[in-house]
Amino acid sequence: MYNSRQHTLQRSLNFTGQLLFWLPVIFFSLLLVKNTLPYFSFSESFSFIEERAVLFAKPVYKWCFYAHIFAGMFCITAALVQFSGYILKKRKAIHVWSGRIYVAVVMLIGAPTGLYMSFFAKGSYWERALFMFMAVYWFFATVKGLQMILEKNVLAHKFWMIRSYCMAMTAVTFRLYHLFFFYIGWGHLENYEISLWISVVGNILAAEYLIWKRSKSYLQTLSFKS
Amino acid sequence: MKRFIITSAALMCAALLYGAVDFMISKNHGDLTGLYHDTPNVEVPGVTTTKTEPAPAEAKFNFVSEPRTITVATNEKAQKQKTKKTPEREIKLEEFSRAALDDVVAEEEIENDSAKALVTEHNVAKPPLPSLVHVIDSFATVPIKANAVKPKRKISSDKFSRGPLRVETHSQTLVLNDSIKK
Repeated sequence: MYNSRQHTLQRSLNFTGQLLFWLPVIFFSLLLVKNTLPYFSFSESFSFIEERAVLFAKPVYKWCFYAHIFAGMFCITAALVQFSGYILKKRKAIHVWSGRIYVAVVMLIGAPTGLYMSFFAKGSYWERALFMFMAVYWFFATVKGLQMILEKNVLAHKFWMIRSYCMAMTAVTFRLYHLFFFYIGWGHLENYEISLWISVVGNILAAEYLIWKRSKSYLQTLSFKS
Repeated sequence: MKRFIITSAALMCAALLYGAVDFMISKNHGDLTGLYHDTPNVEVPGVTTTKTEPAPAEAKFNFVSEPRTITVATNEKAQKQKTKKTPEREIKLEEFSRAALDDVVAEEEIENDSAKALVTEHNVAKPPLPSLVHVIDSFATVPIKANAVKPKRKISSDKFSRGPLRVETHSQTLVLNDSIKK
């Protein structure tokens, strides 16, 4: 029997779980945005830029970089309100407009600049290939999410947007892993490479797990047809 | 909406093609040389750091009792004058004396003056005198020929502060003078 006490307990546990998941996500997303802001002073004294001084001599790469971090800031901030059930029910306009900003920024700025910069990414050819895959997958998942909502397929829209957001969140999870491995004393390059792989593969798996949990037929969610 | 998706897809294709071509051209022209390898020098120029190396495990037998301190310059100019360390030389008991220690330090190729000063200060100015236990332990490393009597060796008191020490290897006994016995 499923009595009211059990129901209340279940709801409390769900709420606590959501809180434990979203509070760190919001905190680290805003921290990433805050740490990105100083780059718009266009100073070249940042270690990230100094390390890539050769690349920053190219105007295309330089402006792609600034466009990419600008897009990333918007994506991460806009996506934070997208998964709120309250906003979706009570303030649908916020969901719609922040969704439009997210989609436009990803498809026109974030993914194309990321794809161009992936050719010059740090690491071996495998890491560059991974960055290319990220850019393409991010673009594809966002396009599918947009297509699904235009066809009024809300559930499929939700699943593809989870996949798109998991790619956007690799920027956050990568830094968390990088920080963790730094404190346990790993060398810079292996730390960078392993953090990158774990963040991308881990985020994809986490997204697929969430979709699998919510869908009755998981394989149907992978279908490219609407 | 279709036009928007097509435009963005065209942008992706352009980014892919332009990135590939730009990468190939940059690579062939050697524009990417030194990328990610020339990390910024975060050290303050002119500032030196002191690194202390632990004493090796076999220090007891090499008579290197104290850790050797080497001053390493971190700025570019001083990097060229980096200290060179020669492998530690093993000193046999027969060679051991204050004069022998002086020779060891003089033989080491230390280019940096500051490092030389430190090494000299630590290892030469106050050479560790072997305790009686060390001397006895060191006998284990001395090869012994059966029925062979080594010529008695006299060490003058100015070279060895504890006075003459006579060693008879055939009987494995130490003959010490009266002052040490007391």
